[in-house]
Amino acid sequence: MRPFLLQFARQCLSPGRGVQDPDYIYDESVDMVRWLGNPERPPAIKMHGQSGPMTKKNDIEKSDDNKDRRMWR
Amino acid sequence: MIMILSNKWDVTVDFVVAELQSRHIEFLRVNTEDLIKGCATVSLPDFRIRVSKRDKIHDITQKINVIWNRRPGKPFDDFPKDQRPSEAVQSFVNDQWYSLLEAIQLIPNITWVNDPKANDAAENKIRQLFIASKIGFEIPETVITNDPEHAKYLLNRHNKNAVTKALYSPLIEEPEKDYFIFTNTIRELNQIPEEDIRISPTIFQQALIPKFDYRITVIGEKVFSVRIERKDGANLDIDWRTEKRDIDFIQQKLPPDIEKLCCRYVQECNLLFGAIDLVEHKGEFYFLEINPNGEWGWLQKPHNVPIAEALCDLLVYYDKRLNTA
Repeated sequence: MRPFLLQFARQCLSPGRGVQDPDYIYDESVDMVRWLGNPERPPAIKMHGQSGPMTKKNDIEKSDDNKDRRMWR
Repeated sequence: MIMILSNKWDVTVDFVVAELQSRHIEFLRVNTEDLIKGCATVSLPDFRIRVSKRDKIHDITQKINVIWNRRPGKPFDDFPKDQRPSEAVQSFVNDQWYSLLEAIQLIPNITWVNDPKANDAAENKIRQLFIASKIGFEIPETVITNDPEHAKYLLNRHNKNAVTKALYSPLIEEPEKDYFIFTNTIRELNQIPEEDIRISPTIFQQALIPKFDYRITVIGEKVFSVRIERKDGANLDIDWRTEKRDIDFIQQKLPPDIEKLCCRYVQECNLLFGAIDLVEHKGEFYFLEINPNGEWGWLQKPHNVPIAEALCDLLVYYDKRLNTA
């Protein structure tokens, strides 16, 4: 017995399993993530020419809201 | 003061932080997974909640007027998997912290974006469709059922042209792998063992094909609408999230009556923020669902939808409103 929706399940990377990208650090002094790929360590959100920082959950950055469970659950 | 409850890797928050800093607005960002290395104390009967950040103690009962409730981190998020305690102990620790942070809701006169209870209620997909229909949105014909006969009836009513999706949280986390269930078209159920349908209720809906997908972000009374299109102009998959790399998000204003309905919907749910999914099918707009705490960072950059600015406006409005009261 198996919920029939499972036949449609596609493999993904859950938030709990993603490995932190070492090219990013959190800077407490500015409350933002910085990108280490540039000597100036710019805020990750200001990286030019990028589609946006992919710090960890790189297959749920875009609208995969349902992978974030209700707060704390 | 504005407080942001999230986790350090929630880079969507960074857009708002950058905007608040550019406006020289004071705020307190609490990455809740860090509290495990700092401290948090609730005192009674003289009710106070104090949290630490960078060796400073903040009395949030006194200072905070508005809270942006984003993605609070869990205590062991920063620990490598092999250094975490057992699942049972993690669950115990999570629950203790959840209960403490829940007490923030006891502080009077705080505006929440969004109120946690209203946010939770708005996650229920049945409630979402019920409210949408009640206030005047068109919605697809839907059954939520574990009865194969009811599901087949809907399929037959729509010439075997239906979609199916999970009622709640389509993420499945097995010990070694994770899976996600997108919305899928379904034409036939006769080959499915009945017990596989009866085991849990599932959403079955009329398929609205052909369609154009829209993502609507509502912030207070501001509405940001993007139309979702494939770069090659072909029709989108039934669930556009399966083709993220091949799509564009085009800012496009909604018809005024639909825009008003989106605003009204968020208000009806006692929310200040909501991310609504609509489709346009044969000239009509249909409500599909709302993500009350939906993601939007991917719209800010690279698509330049000014959601961070609008959120800052909202947070500052509610902070100032209480400061001058």
